[in-house]
Amino acid sequence: ENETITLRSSDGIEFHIDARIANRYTLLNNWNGENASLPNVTGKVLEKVLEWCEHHINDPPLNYDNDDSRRRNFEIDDWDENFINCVNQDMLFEIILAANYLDIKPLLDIGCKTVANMIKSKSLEEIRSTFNIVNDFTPEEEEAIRRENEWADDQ
Amino acid sequence: MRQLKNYGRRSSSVTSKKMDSAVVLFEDIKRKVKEIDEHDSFLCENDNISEHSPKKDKICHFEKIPLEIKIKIFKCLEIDEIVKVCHGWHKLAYDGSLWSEINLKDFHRTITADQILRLSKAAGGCVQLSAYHLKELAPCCPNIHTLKLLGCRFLDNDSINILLSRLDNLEVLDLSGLVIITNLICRTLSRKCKRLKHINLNWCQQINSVGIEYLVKGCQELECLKINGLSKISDQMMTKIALLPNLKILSMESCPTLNDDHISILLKNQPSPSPLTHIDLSNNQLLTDETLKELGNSCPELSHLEVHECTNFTDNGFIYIASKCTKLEVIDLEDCPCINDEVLQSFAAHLSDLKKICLSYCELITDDGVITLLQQCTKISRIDLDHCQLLTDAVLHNLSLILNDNRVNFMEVEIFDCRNISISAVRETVKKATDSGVHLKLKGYYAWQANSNTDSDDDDNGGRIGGSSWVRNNRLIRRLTGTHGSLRSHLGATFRIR
Repeated sequence: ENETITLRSSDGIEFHIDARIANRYTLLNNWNGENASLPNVTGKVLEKVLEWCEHHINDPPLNYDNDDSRRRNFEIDDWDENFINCVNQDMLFEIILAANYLDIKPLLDIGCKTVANMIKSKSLEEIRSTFNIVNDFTPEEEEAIRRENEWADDQ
Repeated sequence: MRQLKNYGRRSSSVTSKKMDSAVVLFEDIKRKVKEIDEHDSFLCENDNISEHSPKKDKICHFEKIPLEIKIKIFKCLEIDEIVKVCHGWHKLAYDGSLWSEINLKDFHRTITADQILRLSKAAGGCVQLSAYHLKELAPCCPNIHTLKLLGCRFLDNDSINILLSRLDNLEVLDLSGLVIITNLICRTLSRKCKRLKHINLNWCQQINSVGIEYLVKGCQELECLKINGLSKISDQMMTKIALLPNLKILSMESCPTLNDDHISILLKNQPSPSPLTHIDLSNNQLLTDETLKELGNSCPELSHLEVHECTNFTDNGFIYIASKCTKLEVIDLEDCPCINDEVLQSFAAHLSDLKKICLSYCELITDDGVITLLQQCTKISRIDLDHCQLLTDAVLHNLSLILNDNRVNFMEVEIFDCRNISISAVRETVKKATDSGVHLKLKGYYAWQANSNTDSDDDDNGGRIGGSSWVRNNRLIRRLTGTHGSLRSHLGATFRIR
């Protein structure tokens, strides 16, 4: 019954979605139509993003003026947590990029919080191996940084 | 469309074809620039040799996301969770946009003023800190033990005075570059801040012997006194400074009137032996070997000697001081024109604790001197040899042999503009250091190429392609600052060994 619009991913896969989703996230509207397709978002990623959008179709509109109120809030609701935990790291970062690109703020938030949670309360080595980061500090630099951040360590 | 920019790099479709080609083009340029950089200036380093190789081919997704998303993620975290991961994260942790709001409530007991300053700088600089703010701040922070106000040019004497009069526990104070500071501040310090240990009054031109007298009277615990650039040095001032019983660190760089007599008065009036361990007399053209002799005779505990650009010191003076101050660990002799191999040999014979030495622009030194020094001073972990034109690959070959002895696990060498050292020798040295398990940092570039392309090269042209404006500028700065002492002192920090 609802009006639907058609989105096409960068690799040519078409998605028919509820027009209300597109209205909610204004950027999606730009790619409605016969020949238009979303650059930079592949079908695989777009599918996940739209899955999320569909679930949240009835959420009340959020006020995003106050960025700081959300800053330390680590709460992610159960459905979202399940949604985001089912994807691997590649997909997680793809979703973050797509959400940023499509200006879907709540999804971007969830992605960022998830990454933050992957960093939180891990040891340095665990963080490095989680993200494949190479430790490029010399022993001297490590010592200097340890010293300059003693105030934070003591907490 | 802001988001479009952040995406980039992915395969394109019709709508964004233009943009993607622009991205590709830009990347190409970047790659080229990088190639040139690698040849022109080099930093050969075999960082963390044991750890990383197996992970190299794995993708770091985090690296690839746009800066603003990284910031967003970091906003959910505490600073201590991110600073220690790698250089990139450390830099991000102090990114200004991350610190739009600084709430130190959780850290109020342990944070140092230094750190607050660093954070406020990251958040956009503290130069806007006004006199009014300082007065407001004064009653709130009697526990501050470190206060650095360098560069806060909107402060006035009055407000600093009010603040200082509340800081009974102050131990470290940095007022460098605040020209408004007067002797009045010294009086307040002497009355209120009895625990002061370190004070930096560099370039506070209005301070004279009256101010120093106040300081000495009240702050007897002073260990570190920095008065670089003071123009009103007098016998009286030196007599007063000598009365500080614990003075370990004295910095009097670029004081245009400072002469041998002043140093002599200081050392004669100090307790014997002198408590001084660090002295910086750089860029003082009036000083002669007499000063070095006095230092040698009076300061057996001296470990840091910085005398760059003291053009009147000769080899005899340095040979003498090396025989007397045998605990020297750090020596900066940049641009001391009389340094020759004999000086280095006397260092090698006497200074077994030597850790860092800067010999840049000491153009008389040769392979023999440097090799003797490296061989005998077994604790050396940093040596700067910029623009020592007589040095050849032999220095690096010898360095490889030394590193193989496992006497140090970290070594830093600067060889900017040493025209007779080849890139192939540099590469070989780094490779050998890796084999020996030593973390070696070799920095340099070939500036001479910019001026003389006529030299016929025997080997390895690859390493000697060059002539970027950067190289010339750097050299220009050195030349320029070499002749204008005070400017040099401001820029000096980047050239100094610490």
